[in-house]
Amino acid sequence: MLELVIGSQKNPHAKTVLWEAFSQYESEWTGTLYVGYPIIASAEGPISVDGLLCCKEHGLVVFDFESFDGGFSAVEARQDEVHAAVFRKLYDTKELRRGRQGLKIDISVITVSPKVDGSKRSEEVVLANPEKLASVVSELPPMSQELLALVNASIERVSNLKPYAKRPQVTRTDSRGAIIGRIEKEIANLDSWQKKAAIEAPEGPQRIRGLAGSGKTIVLALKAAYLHAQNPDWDIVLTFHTRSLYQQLRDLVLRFSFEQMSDEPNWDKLRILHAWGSSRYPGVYSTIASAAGQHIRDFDYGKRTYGYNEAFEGVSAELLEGLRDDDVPQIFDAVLIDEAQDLPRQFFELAYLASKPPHRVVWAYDELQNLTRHTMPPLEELFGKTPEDVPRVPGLRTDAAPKEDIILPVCYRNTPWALSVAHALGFGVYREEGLVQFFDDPQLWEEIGYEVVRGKIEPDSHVELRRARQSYPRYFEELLDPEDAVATEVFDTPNYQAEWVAESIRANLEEDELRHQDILVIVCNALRQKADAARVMKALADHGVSAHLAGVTTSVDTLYREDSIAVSGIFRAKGNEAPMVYVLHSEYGAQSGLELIKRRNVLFTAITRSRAWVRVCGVGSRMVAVKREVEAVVKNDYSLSFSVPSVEELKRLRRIHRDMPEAEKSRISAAEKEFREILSRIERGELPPEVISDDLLELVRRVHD
Amino acid sequence: MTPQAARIELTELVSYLLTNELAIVAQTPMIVDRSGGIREVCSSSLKATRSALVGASGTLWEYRSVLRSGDFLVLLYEGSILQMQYAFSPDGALLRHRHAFLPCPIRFEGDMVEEAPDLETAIGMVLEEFSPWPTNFSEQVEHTEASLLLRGPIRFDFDRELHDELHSACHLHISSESCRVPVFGPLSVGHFVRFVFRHFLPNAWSAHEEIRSWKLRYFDRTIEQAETEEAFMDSRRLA
Repeated sequence: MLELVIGSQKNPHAKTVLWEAFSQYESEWTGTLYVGYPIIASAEGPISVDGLLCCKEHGLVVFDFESFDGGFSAVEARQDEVHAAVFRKLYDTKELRRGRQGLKIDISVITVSPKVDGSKRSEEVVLANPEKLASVVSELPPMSQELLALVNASIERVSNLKPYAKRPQVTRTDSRGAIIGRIEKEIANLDSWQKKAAIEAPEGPQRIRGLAGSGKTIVLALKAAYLHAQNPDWDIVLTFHTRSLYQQLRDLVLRFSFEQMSDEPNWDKLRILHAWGSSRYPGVYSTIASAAGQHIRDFDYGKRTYGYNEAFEGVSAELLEGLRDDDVPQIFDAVLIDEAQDLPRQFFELAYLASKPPHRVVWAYDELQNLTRHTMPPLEELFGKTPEDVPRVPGLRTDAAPKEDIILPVCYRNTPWALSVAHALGFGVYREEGLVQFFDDPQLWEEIGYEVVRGKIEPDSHVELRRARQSYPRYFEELLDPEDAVATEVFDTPNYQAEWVAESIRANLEEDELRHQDILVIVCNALRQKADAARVMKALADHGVSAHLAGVTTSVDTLYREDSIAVSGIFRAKGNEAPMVYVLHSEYGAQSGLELIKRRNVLFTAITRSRAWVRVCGVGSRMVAVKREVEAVVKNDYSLSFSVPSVEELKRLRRIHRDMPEAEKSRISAAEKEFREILSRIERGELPPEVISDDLLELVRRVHD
Repeated sequence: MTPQAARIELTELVSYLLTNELAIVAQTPMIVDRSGGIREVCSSSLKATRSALVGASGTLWEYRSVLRSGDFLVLLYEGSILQMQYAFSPDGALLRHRHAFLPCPIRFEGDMVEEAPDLETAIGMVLEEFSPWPTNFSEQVEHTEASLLLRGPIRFDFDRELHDELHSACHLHISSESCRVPVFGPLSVGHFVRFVFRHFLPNAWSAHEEIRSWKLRYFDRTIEQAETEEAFMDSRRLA
């Protein structure tokens, strides 16, 4: 198959010409056709290649869309430049070199221009008229499959990401330290899904979705750098919600820019801004407000006027109200939004209005921030409506080229087994009393990487789901053993739990060649967090290992320390991962009663913090129930087998297990306490059993059934 | 007292404070080997530890810096910070200690703590006002709803080898580096903990018997006769 990757087009008609010439070979040829990619750094500045065909049947061909006025020498000079740039890029790959002077493959360069009569050739210089393009290329010799793979990898090669941690303490090849080292090395290379997602640039809105851990942030950073290199006078903004993301984005953009331009980006043209901003530090909102001559509201105002949680929403809505559509200054050529699920709808509307037509707004979000709620508003509402009440972005075409709707299917962060167990527990798939919660939209399962093994995802049908093969990288299976990746432990007392965890961690540090910062201990019950943490920290100290209970006031970076084990509640653990995770008091998730959904979500979040190994620990009989659920997953070969609830069922589930407002919780707790007190007194003999009326007893019996 | 014993005792303290909700962020101490065979019982293996009262007087930035570094034993329930560390010479004798109490400079008004998920986040929010990201220190103080208190850090320093006219072997800094009240001798964990809780955290003091009765240990007195003429800090074992 000939794959088409359409990047940002400097020459818009390059795409049309190339597509017309080569789409007929889509099913015959094997390889890739790039439009507007790659951009290669050179001494004179970045060289943007108009088109590049790389296929088994006809080798490597570079297309240059230059205007041709009859002069060969100008064309030759230009072709030499392009050839040299591509040559240099390929030469970086050792396996493509032949000896010291050359490459194993030839690079053909064709200048495409309608002014050429048919096709012309003068020594190495080849020109072609668009109509003759296909036949000229058809005469070129083939190349081997092996070389094709190497050339593709070389063309798509982006500098490695964060230099993976050096692990000097690793001496063996099979220790956990060695294994995680190899996993990190693999992750450091972008996969082709991510590269293509970064390059594909439609003239309009684009959505990028994926599981947490599928690399969306990296894709956006690469896209920003690429668009900027391709269009240096565009005003591009890359925006986000969590302040601490700024540094990571900046580092990535810098790295990618160097790869493509051998230079820093022009930070006046490619800006990385927090979504909100303030009068002192610009953000997207504040920049738009300022350009529109409107008041810039700060967090204090937002919090006072709209409440802590709705502050940004309120402030954005306020700005929108103050402006008519044409009052919003169109100041951006492209807006790239990360963490879209954390931003209010009104922000998207602002971003859309503030971008010049064709409104290149790219937004990326996690499909599964929260197991129950689809946090993103539907597409037709996301960007609001025009004054004529028409949705600004009614839909995204699924068959467009370049792609408008991209899903990143591979999850790098968690093993497929940990994910399956986390979902099973989160939803209560194998819970004795039945499901706890479920997706509003059953189709979501496939979008997050599950495939149907048996049955159908339809209300009242039975279905069996498993992680699709393509949803996880190969190295998980090669390097890890499922039973070691997820293990469950039941303890009789909290002290036994603490002792076991401390001893395991000691072994991790002394025998498994893991470092302190590779380990994370999570305590599930927020109410007892400190006491539970103290217990395990003391046990660790008894084993000579230092530990810290992290707080939220310290920056995200300092959760892990080189010389101390991080212990954390679930809130602080969010957004962080570690190769080895210990989840303590998981029985908290099985406690029936109020807010079961919330408890199950805690289990889901805790388990998905693990990048390789997770130990789900807990105390008592409720933990035995949790272990049974996990064993059911394993017995089913890590697939989820269940009956899809009907619409009525779904409503009932939501009602009985939902989050509750504090006042209601207190009332119920108080009533329960009183009831329990009466029963205890009866048991102790202080009250006669007859104090409970018969019809009340009858009611209890009925409810219990 | 050996390094091990100091470590165990400090770990007990951390454990107690956490379990009883007196601390919200904590670090169990570790024994670190420094140059010259010196062994330190402290919160971090990093060479430079962020301490209170490094400059002429305690500032809000210092508090924030220590808070962000996580280089302390505990962050107490109301936002104050306790730093404690001991250093021992190769022969096992107590060489130095540095125990500091940084009172929380923020008192929260009304609904601020209710709105934020917890105290720590509230502290973070207020500090954000003074250091809007991306981390540029600004001298400007913005209007906030919280009050800024004028409470100085205190620090008990002991150094067996550093001893001259200006410095008593063990002295107490109150609010500023130049204040060095002579102290009878090195303080045990019990002395420091009782001092802080009794004088600065009276509610917790009355509620926690364990703290009130934390064991006091007496090391060799280091104060000189001449230093006792003016006001100084003393502690004697009752007969």
